[in-house]
This record gives sequence, C-alpha cells and structure tokens, in this order.
Amino acid sequence: MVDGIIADSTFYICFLDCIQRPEVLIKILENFKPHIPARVFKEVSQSKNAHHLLKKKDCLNIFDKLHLNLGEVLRPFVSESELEKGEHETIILAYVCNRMGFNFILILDEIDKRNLVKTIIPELESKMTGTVGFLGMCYYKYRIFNKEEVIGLIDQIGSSKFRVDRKVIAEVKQRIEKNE
Amino acid sequence: MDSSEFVEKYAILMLGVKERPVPSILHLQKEFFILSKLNPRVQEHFDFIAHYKGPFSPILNDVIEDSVYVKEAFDIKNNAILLGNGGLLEFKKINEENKNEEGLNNTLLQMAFIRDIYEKLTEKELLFLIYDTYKEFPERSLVSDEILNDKSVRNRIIESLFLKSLITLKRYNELRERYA
Repeated sequence: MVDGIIADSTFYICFLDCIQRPEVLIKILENFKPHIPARVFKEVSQSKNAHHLLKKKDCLNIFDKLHLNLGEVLRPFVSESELEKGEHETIILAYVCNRMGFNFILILDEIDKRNLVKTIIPELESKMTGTVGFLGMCYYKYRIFNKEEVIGLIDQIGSSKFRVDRKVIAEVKQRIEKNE
Repeated sequence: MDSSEFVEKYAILMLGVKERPVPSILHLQKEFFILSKLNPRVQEHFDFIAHYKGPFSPILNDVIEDSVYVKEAFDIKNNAILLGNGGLLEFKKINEENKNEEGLNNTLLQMAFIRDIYEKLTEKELLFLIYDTYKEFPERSLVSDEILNDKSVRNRIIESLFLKSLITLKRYNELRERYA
C-alpha cells in the first residue's frame, strides 16, 4: 500500500482551478498522505478555491526547510524562474523520501521534468505518473472513485485549460476500460 | 582536525559512497564545489579559488596526488579517481565507527546525490554549467573561451544537455536566449 503522494503545483491547481472540483482533491488527500515542499504549498495557496485545501492544512506534510540544501545540487540544471518558484523542490523531496524508505507516488505533469527525473534519479521512474494517470490508478488500483466518476473527471480535465496530451488521456481510459 | 586531514577524509567518503570511480579530477573538483554550497565546513577547508577551469581547490589536488593520513588512499586509472586499498579500509572503518551518526549519514546522502547527477555530464558539459551558474569563478582562458564564446561548441553543449534530459525545457530556453 502506498503511503503518500508527492506532487508539484500543477496537480493541485488542476482540481482547485482548472476543473474547479476541490472536493475531488480533498477525497484524494484523505486517502493518501500528501508530502509537499513549502514553496509549492505557497504557490498552490494562491490559486482559486485554495481555501478548501487550507481547511485541510493539518493533513498536509509540508516540508519547510528542504532537506540538507539539496536544492542547490539541481541549480545548474533548472532555470532561474524555476528556482525562484521552487519547482525543482518536488524532485528533491521525492529523492529524500525515497532514501528514507517512504512509499509514495510522484505526480509530475511536465514531460521535461519527468525526463529529468528518469535521467538523474532513475529509481524514481517506477513511482512516477501524471495527474491523469494517477486518477486512473485511483479507480483501477485504489478504488477511491468508481469508473463513471473517474472517466467523467478525466473528460473534464481534457476539456479544461489543464495541459495534457490527448494520447495520455486515451491510454488511461483504455486501461480503465480493461480494469487493470 | 586540520584542513588536509579533513579534505582527505571527505575525499575518501566521496569516492567510497558509490561503487564506481569518479570519471576525472575535474568531476571530483566540481562535485566538491557543489558540496561546499551545501556545507560551509567544506567551503572552509577546501577553499575554492577562481581558476581557468572554474572553481578549484588546490588542497584537494594535493591530497589526491599524495595522501598523508591514510596510506594508499587513492588511485588514478585512465584519468578516473578511485579508492586505493588504504582508502577502502578507511571508508569501511569510518562507516562502522559512525554507523548511526546523523551527520555522517546526511553527508553521504548529499555526496551520493551529487555524484549520481554530475557524473552523467561530460567534462565540457560540466564546465559549461558551472561557468554559467557560478559566474564569479572562472578566470578567462582558452578553455572558458572555447566553451562560452565559441558559438558552435556552446550550442552543441546546450543541445546535448537537453537531448540527454539533463536540463529542463525552461533552462534550455534560458540558455539559448542568454547565448543567442
């Protein structure tokens, strides 16, 4: 059984803003312990409907001081804007949690960041998925949502401003249909 | 502990933390430079200075060439640096004596993370990223000129880093814009 999730801001903003379904996010957070870097939490706190998440702040494991300044290690590999926003800190947190033996799912949507993780921390590849992929797992693996609910959510995400490859949506829906 | 002893001990730890040699003295120098950004004691003892190949620690070079406190601590084979028989025994001894010490475990985690990432870079890629990120360090030289000012060399390095998924898309765009 998975203990938790580590996700960057796009995951949270998907439910809070893009599809405006905060209750879905809350249901996810009630089933998985969320580990989140402080700067990612700060960014998410400024999004639409963030008050729903803030009410559940006690459920969040917010990492205030990123472990051992490891963020500096990635400084040459990410842009200045990414450093300022702390976008690399999700990767660092995943690395540290993995070394500590935590069992988690890493949710990253940007393909270049996923490729960066696969290259520099290949042991995280098997734990990694995107928001839509994770929703699929919430049905066929964890039974948090039923089939109709999850297909509905994925369709809603596909029609929203959330950026996701159509191929990914098709693959996840296929998996749901096969009930794997 | 004086600086020579500190540097020798830390070099043994850095080389022992992974079961593979460090590809070159350049890699070792830059890996310790990055570590010094995480750990002020490392900066204090390694004392990095500006050099034609970026930040350089003279004491690290001396220690690798001729270890004082541990006989046969290091070995150099085809440019790669590895632990000698003495270094291997010393690494094992340090770990056994400090098994549960949080400080040592944290240092080893930092070193492992640094090595896993930076050893995926060629020497030119490594120099380029260090020159670009830590502008306060390079002395002008033929080496830095070739890497920073020769457009074809520079563009090849930037493309290579992105194709190898070692930098994010934003970082790639940032570098392309900076050196357009």
